[in-house]
Amino acid sequence: MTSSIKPVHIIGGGLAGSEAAWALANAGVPVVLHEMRPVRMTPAHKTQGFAELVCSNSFRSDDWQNNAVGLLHAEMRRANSLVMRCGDAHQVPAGSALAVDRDGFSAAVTAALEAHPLITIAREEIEGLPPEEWDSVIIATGPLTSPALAEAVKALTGEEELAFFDALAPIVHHESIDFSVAWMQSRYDKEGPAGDKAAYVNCPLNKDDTTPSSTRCSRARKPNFATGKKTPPTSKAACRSRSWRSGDARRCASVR
Amino acid sequence: MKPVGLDDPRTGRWPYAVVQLRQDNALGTLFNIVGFQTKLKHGAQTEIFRMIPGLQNAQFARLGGIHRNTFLNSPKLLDGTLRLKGAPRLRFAGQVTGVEGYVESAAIGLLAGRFAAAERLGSPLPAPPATTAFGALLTHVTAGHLPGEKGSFQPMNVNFGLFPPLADDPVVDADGKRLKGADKGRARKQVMARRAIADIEAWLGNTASVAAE
Repeated sequence: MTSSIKPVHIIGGGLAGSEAAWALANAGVPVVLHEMRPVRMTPAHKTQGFAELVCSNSFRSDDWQNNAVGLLHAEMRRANSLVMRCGDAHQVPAGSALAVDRDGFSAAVTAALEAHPLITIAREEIEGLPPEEWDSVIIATGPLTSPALAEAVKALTGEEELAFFDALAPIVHHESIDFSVAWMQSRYDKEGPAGDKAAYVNCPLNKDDTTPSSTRCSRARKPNFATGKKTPPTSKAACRSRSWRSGDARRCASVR
Repeated sequence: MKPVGLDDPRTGRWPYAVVQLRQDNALGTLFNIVGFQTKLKHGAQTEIFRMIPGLQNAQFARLGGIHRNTFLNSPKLLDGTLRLKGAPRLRFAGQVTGVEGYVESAAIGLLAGRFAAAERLGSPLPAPPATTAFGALLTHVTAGHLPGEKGSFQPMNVNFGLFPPLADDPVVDADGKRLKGADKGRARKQVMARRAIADIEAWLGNTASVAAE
């Protein structure tokens, strides 16, 4: 590497880290891409390849006109995305979705990164915060960020600002709510900090409405998680564990 | 679920119980069902939530879930180019910033790479327009959350609810026929998608045409 430009360091060779390295290198900026596999493996990964897909093999809808992720595909292709280029080159039949051969896809990403003259690959774990002399760093360590780095980030940001579980409430498109039944109002029309007396959408339940709903809920199927674990694994953690790989793709997809 | 202080306009009384939805993005296009975090299977969730009066035709931008996931309170911590405000030499990308999905993670990586490259080369890069999928996702991560509200920042996939609404919704189709029901929503998405492609090409300085897709 003979460039006079100081390198940018990237921690993590997943989808984000690989794509960031590609964007930087193609802009003429040297990159050191730090990946801890295979020195230190994770509970989810099976290989040392870059951009390994640990759960589904689908990039979801490829319909750019009717689907937001399809639109994102189209925008990324225009932005010279490595992930889209390799995904397109290794697609498998999946109707209107873009699904890929995981091994072919990851091998193509890995080969492209390794072949780029401005990208240096360092197979090492970065424990804790990156050294001070690295003046530009991209941290792309994913949902299973190593505890040492997570602790260091927490020390920088404060205890409250790094979450280890998500808790997702369902989100509804406003335009699909039936306002002949529902109405906007805050309790006792009390004004909130944003100065709005009608901040909430309210859906009324009659005494009779609640009964079938609660029966239906108790009958509803919950994900079948692998048993024998101390804490019940959440769906994604289960999805990421090796036993949920290849052989049971359908089960994996159904809990996502 | 408590109905106190809520007057059903159809009866003028407090109902037996209520399900409340709270605004979820600054644009006001998305609302979350308060307190309905759940691990039920997605099919069952759709079926059950549509039993709630007023939500019988609800379209979901995201269903409930609880997962092991490490992610930052990005809207508070990160600046518009994904740098940690308290230590700007550090930039974040991918799922740890609060996006969901392979493609979304890669997209935030692509933006982080471009921002870092522009900074290194001394030519600052403006954020992609909010009307593009890149911009909508970046806005969700760095700004879209409602500041000071009780609802916390949670990861999300890209969806059309993250895009600014159109100034004028399409009313007729290509043949001049009046649009109804689901066709209306489909037409709106298509106009938004074309707007996004035009705007991303302008941002990229790219002249490839939409027709080439």
